[in-house]
Amino acid sequence: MRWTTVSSLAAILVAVTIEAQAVAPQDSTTKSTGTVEGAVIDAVSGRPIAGATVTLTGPGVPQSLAPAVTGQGGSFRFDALPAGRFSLASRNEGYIAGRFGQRYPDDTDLPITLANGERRSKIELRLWPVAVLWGSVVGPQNEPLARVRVTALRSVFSRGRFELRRRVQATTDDRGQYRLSVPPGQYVVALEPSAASPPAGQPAYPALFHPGLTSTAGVNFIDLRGGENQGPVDFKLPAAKSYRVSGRLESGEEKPAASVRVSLVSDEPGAIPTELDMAPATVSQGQFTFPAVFPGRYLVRAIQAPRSMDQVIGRVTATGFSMSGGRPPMIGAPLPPLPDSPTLWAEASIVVVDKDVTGVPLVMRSAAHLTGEVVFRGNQQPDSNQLQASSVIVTPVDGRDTGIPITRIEADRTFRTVGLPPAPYVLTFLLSFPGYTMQALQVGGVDMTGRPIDVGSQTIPPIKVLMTERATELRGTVRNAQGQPIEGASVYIFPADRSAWVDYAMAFPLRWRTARSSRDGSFEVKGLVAGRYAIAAVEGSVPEVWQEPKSLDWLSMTGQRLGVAEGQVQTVSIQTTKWVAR
Amino acid sequence: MGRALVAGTALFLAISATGSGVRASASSNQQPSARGGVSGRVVTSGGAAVSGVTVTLTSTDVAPISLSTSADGRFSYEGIPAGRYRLTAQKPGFLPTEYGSVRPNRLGTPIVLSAGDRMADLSLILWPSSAIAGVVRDASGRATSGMAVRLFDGRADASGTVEPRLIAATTTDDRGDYRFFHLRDGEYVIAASGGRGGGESRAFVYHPSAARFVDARRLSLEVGQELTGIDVAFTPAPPVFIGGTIRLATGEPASLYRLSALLRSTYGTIPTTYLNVNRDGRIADSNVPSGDYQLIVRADRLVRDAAGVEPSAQPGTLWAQRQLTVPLGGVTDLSVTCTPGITLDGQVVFAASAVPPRAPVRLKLQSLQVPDFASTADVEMTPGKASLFRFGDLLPGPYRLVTEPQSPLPRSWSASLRLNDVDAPDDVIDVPAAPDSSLHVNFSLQLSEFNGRLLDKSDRPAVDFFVVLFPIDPRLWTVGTRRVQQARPATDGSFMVSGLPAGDYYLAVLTDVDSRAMFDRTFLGGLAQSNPFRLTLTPGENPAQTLRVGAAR
Repeated sequence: MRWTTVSSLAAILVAVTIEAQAVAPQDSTTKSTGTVEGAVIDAVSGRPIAGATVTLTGPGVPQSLAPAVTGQGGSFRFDALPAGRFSLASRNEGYIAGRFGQRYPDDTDLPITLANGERRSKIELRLWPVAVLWGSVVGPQNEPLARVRVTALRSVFSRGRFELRRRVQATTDDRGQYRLSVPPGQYVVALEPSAASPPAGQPAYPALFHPGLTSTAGVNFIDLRGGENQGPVDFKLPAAKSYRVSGRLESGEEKPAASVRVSLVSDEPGAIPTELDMAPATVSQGQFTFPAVFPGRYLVRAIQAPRSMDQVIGRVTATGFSMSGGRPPMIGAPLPPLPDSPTLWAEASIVVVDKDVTGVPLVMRSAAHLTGEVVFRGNQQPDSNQLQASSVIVTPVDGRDTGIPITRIEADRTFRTVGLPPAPYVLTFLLSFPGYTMQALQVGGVDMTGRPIDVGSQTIPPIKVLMTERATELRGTVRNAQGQPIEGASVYIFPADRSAWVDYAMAFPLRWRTARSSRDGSFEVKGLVAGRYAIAAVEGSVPEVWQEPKSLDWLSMTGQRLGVAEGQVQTVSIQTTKWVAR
Repeated sequence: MGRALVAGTALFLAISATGSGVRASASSNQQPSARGGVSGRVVTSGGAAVSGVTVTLTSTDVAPISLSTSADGRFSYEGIPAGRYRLTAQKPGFLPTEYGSVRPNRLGTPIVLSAGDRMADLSLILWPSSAIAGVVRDASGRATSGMAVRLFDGRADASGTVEPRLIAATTTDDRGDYRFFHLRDGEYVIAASGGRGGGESRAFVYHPSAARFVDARRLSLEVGQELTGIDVAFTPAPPVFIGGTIRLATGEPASLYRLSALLRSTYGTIPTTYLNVNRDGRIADSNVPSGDYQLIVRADRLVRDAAGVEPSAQPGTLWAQRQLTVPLGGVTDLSVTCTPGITLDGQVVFAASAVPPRAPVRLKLQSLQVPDFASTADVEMTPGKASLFRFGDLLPGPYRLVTEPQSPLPRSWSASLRLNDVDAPDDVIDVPAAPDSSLHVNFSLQLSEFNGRLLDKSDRPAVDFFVVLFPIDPRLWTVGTRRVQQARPATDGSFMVSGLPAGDYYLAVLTDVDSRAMFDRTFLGGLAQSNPFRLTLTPGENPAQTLRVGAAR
């Protein structure tokens, strides 16, 4: 098994409630006489941007409010506004779309709060200019290759390690040239694998990472600041021939169906996880083929998860939850039960040297299930419809898309996933009704809240999930060293225990929160699970990747400790510190 | 359109025909098992060998065989059975070509291989493809990224509809640059759209700065040419407002119908666009470029049940159609009334000789003006007997008659049509505004096939010529029609034309035909004037003809 880095850890759990956003009642006594004015400026040069579009949205703002276009000094102005909380956004050609209060392009924004008839001026909206990566792609004889897909892979911190995710794609022209406009950040440029049968006269090739590697081990990182232009980032397809890798799917009695997914993953030591190397094979009648594989070490993986027509696949990523396949379930409607057939999986290690690798046997084995029970501690008990409309999303810790369908919670509060190939998994609970938050997850009586569950070949003891009506609340005020409340400071809350310093729950965090302080320095965080926490507030510039251990070490040192018990409502006061990039 | 005739450097030739009954196929081989070979070389138009070219040998009997040329441009096929082949070549950066194409975009010469034949030293010529590049600039002259750029066929009649034919689309890069590549030579038009950040204005601006396609600069692109500096000054006129009301002649409330209003501009400002219409029949759209349009309003009756609103199974489409000039000040008082559509009653006669399909055939009359509008009719086909059908709720205008793909009639059906007792093309049916029209369709499963042999005065195969067949009736000269076909004599002088509906045709022999100009009415009109050979094609195989090319007139 490949999961040595995480196998010692264990399980995770997240409770999330799908809840309609409450609309703030409008105070009919307010008059629309407020003003918001300011300027849009280039975050790198500090110069004003003329001709940018600025939009202001929020409760009480008419849909028809025309976007403002900035004048020569980058200035904009909105009049006749009601009191309220608004969001302010801007975009302009050549810049990343931005929102007020961002300290870097992907940062959270700050609302603009406006009292009755208030005039807020000198609002500064910073936009980051796009960065450009450019270069060319040629074949072994230096002939330019047209219509090659080039991808900028962004280095993203997720589940305790960096991984490379697709950010922007471009296609080469007839001169082999490409240009990628990207947000500032750290990138690896790569070629997407060619089609299984490329256009006449073009070679077949696998995914290639700059400067020409078939694995992400030792790839060339490019650091781009806003507006920076970097090139040439050139590729030359190696004259080295690529080889075919093929084999058979073998199973006991059942014939492998067409729905088997077979993928090839680099097995080079030091490879950085990426979604790009998961080239799918063509599978036909139990025979799988990868048409173009360069020499190297690889893992071939096959998975056949049971699926019926209306089964839906759920994926949890850093930014949220996505669904694919089947008919998307209607919120509140019971989910279909899972098919009873087993999940089959196989894995084989191969080395491609100087010839085709054929006859790779993939012996399909059936996988273990996770079973469990959800306990709702509270007065308002859910009915069976509400339970069956609630789901358990199973996501492997390495983030790969395995095609595991969504599990529903049964009327008797139990759940049983489909078979899961050996790997550590994160469970995310999406409740179809409001009022409950997750409080704990135990596996065989051991607390595994916020940790992955390592599924191996042996049976896992039943899981017990505790949901409570009594959500925790943490309120506080952020002040600087002089005791003044600070607006827009970042507040970070994370486990005090270093051994829990990986956020596996991603978009639905249990123990990891960040908030930004309002104009009066206040902030509020709800639904933390009980436990010991570190809390720190940073004023001014902030670490872009705060969940990296080196950032956490610093935050942990400058912050304070805090215990949270089930249902506890407490208030804290924190003093800000200044982050110095290291 | 003052477009030069690309096709005919046509040297018209005297033809003498003999109904000698020569079969044009090469099937009369004595040793069917003996295998032959084909070999040759791929060179550029300048004569340089090209390596790495994919050469493909295709025939109707054998799966295509592809090879890659060697460093000196050579290829060689061995063990090829006797038959009629086409030999094509392609490589990125070059136009696809065929053996016997002496200029780009020309049909090639089929290769007829008898048992054991070897054809060596065949030469295939590759022409480089062309490119068009430029910059899109905004009103202040600044290069603008993220703009949509489209490449259209510059010929206003290329698509057979009122809109130009879209060839490719791209987006400007961070420097405002765009580039279209791997293009054929020809006439093109470039348009930019998209606004800052995309999608704010519907307006197109045509190179160099025209608001309408007809005012755009036509780009004449030569073989292998790279046209640069084809910039677009993206300064569209501000969009204007169209407001108005849709009423129904039936007096019913508009909310009982699903309404859509579309604007079409004949080679004008923008492609077909839907206007914003609310459920009560109010048109309110503030993003329309001023210009001349055809406004079409479609109202589909809805049925309401417990489950909600569904399109009605009952026919019930009302239409309105009018010319609309949108001035710079916009339109605020537009009023249109939808009236019931036209009914087209028809009759199908299925050829007595043919085996009828087992299930009824679904005939579909597809509008060429309104995307996604079609009227269907299921017709029982009984040989020798007339079956009646009706297409209802039609908007007057051009339609195409097709059979549904799943219906059991082969796609290669043949029909001759009479619309209101006048012969009509089967490609485009122009439904008249007269309330009661009739359509008479004669169906036949058999298309015509015509074989021949083209020889020179010394009875050698005349391989350098092109044969064009086209209907005598100019009303049938529609773009893309199967009634206009061309052929090249094969290496043995034989040529084949198949898949034509029966009828009266002209046959002309020319020294050169640009494939893209085949349907050009001026070209066909010129050919018709040149005293071509006349022939009447019957369904199925027609008597073979031997044609001799004589001296040029």
